[in-house]
Amino acid sequence: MADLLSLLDLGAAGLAAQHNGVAVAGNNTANVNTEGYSRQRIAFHAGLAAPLVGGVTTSSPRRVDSELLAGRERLASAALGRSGARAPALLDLEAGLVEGGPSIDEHLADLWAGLQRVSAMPSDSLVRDAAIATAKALTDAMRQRADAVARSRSEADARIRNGSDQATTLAKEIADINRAIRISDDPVQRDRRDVAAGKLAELVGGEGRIDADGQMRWVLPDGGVLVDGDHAARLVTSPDAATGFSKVELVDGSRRRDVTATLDGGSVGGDLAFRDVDSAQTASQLDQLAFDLTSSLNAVHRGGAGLDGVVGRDLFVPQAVVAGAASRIAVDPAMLADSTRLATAAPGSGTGDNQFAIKLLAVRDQRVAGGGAKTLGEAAIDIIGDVGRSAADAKAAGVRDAEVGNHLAGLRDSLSGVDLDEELAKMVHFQHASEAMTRFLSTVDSMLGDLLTRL
Amino acid sequence: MRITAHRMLELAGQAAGKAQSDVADLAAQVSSGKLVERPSDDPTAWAHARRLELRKTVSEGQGGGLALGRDQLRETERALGTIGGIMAEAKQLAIQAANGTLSALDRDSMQEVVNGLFGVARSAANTQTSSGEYLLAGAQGDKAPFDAAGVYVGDGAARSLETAEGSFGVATLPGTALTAAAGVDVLPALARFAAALGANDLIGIRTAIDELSTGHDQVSKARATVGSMMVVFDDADAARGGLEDTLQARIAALTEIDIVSAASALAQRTRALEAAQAVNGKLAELLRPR
Repeated sequence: MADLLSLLDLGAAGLAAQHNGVAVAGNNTANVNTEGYSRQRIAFHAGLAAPLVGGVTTSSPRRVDSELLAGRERLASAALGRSGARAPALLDLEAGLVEGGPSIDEHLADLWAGLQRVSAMPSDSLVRDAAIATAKALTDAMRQRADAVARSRSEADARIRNGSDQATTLAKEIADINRAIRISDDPVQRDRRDVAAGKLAELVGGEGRIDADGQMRWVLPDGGVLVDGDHAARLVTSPDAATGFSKVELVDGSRRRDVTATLDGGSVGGDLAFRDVDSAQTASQLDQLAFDLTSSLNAVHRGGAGLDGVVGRDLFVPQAVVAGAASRIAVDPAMLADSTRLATAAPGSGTGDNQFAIKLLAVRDQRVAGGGAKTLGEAAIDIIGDVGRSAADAKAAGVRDAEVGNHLAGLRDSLSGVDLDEELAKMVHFQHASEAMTRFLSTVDSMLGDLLTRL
Repeated sequence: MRITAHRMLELAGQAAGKAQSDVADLAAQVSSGKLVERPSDDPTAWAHARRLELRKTVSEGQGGGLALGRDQLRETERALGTIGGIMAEAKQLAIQAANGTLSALDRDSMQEVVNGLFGVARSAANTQTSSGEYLLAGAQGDKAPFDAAGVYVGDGAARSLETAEGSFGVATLPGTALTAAAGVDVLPALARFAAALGANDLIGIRTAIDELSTGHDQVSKARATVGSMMVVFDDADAARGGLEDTLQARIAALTEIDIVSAASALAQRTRALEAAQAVNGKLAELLRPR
């Protein structure tokens, strides 16, 4: 049989339980706008009836979350981080190639038009000067575009260094939180860890998993461990002598592991893909175009004679190698100074001959670029077109990744988000229960009082 | 599925943001008139349009060359016209001079006239372009093709010009058209006539009539040749103009916006934006804590 004093304990415990419920609902309401906050719930456990009454106890507040969903969100963040970095970089590169004056193919067209006029009036100094000027404008434009590509790669390199530093900071943060969770498993710490993990995923991708001991481990795509419980490795960048850009290494104590080629997730992965694949390809194509342009026109030009009858001259400064050709391309300085050197005539013919002007013009339609598959104009157009295509694909990927991320965020919010109406309703439940327990306590108190009075 | 108030507001905000972005994008297209400005807008259309643009620019370059070539041919035709007129006049003088009633003194006076005509004809034969190139010199454009005696010292080279993709037309007439290679040495024939007049040589004068007649026909034939060269250039230019119009139309179809359908789409997207904004406002009102 329950005695009155134990009923008081029951009432007190019940009141405390309802107060805990109100506290949790209030905490959820207070954190409705806190980034990464997962709503919490406490479980009410009925005490064993010994005898008749057992009362109620509450567990510690637990997060309403799903590690499976959190993992999927991190993967989506990594994908979005990658496309979110790659798309604007490619659009910037596209702008560098298209804006800032006529493009390379337009300058090429001007060169052909200039040579056309020279073929009509081969001994006219003004027409010759104008043709040389179009050649100079073409080389200036090529160097400008090569600079734009180099600049965009440098900017990507800076972002990679910055992102690696941020990733190192976040890895340390996760390790610190792991340590704190080992000491005291606070749901708020887990929220903070999830937020840091989301940011880390968006930066470098990889996979974060929570093991049975509640500790998060973070593994990069090549298997390298960035976070292992309360221990964090570092992502360190240093100059790579071979490429001139930064390499990214996973450093753990004395162990170093080059992850530049395998880090393909997150914004760092996107910038690496842009720097080492997309813009590297553009730079290479520009260099090849500059090399092909120089070689093909010089080869013809050397066979022809200038107005002074001299043969064997170059129109452009010869290029020994393809690498860097776009940054070096230039009209022969002597040609710039004296357009009579432009080889328009066949050797031994007179100043009125235009056979070599026509041969130079014929290069326009010859497939001397793209490994013999394209004309110079087509190759110039395809360089810009390829960047545009990659930019369009990256934009579309970004839209898709954002939609996936948004969907997963919706699922997460559905599971873990705080709904004010729901919390307020729960508060009302707890409030009523609290009122009832107060009433119960008052009744028991009155009964006790009665008993004491009669005794 | 459980949807929190926060999520509802977020989704409504995203929808309004997307509607706003759609309106902004389409408004930019309508104001620029361009559907494809950058390769990333539509890579395939851009590349196709750019290749057509390249062809069009090449064609315009060919037009520039054709214009210069036509100008030179016109100058050549003018020079030949002058020489032809002189030959006709000289022939008339020769017929008059062959008349036995004329005195030596009369023939002396005629010699002076013919000498003058020779000078004008030689000057016309040595016509230069604005850049100083001798029109009838063949490839030796930096030297006067007809010397003091009217003898041709140029060469027989003719210059070709590109008239269309893969097609060429002859753009110059070498001075050999006025030499014995084509009939008679025209200018020396005039000089011989003048000499015959000065020597009162009736036989020489009668010989000159035939030479001058042949020379006149020769010059007319040369003019006709230049005329047909100009026709080739004119036809090429007309075809080029038609090609450029076709190319421009194809480029426009690929890259320019259809204003009517764009305006209609803009109106639709504006209405969608207004609806999204209204939903946003309504939700904010409904979800306000009471």
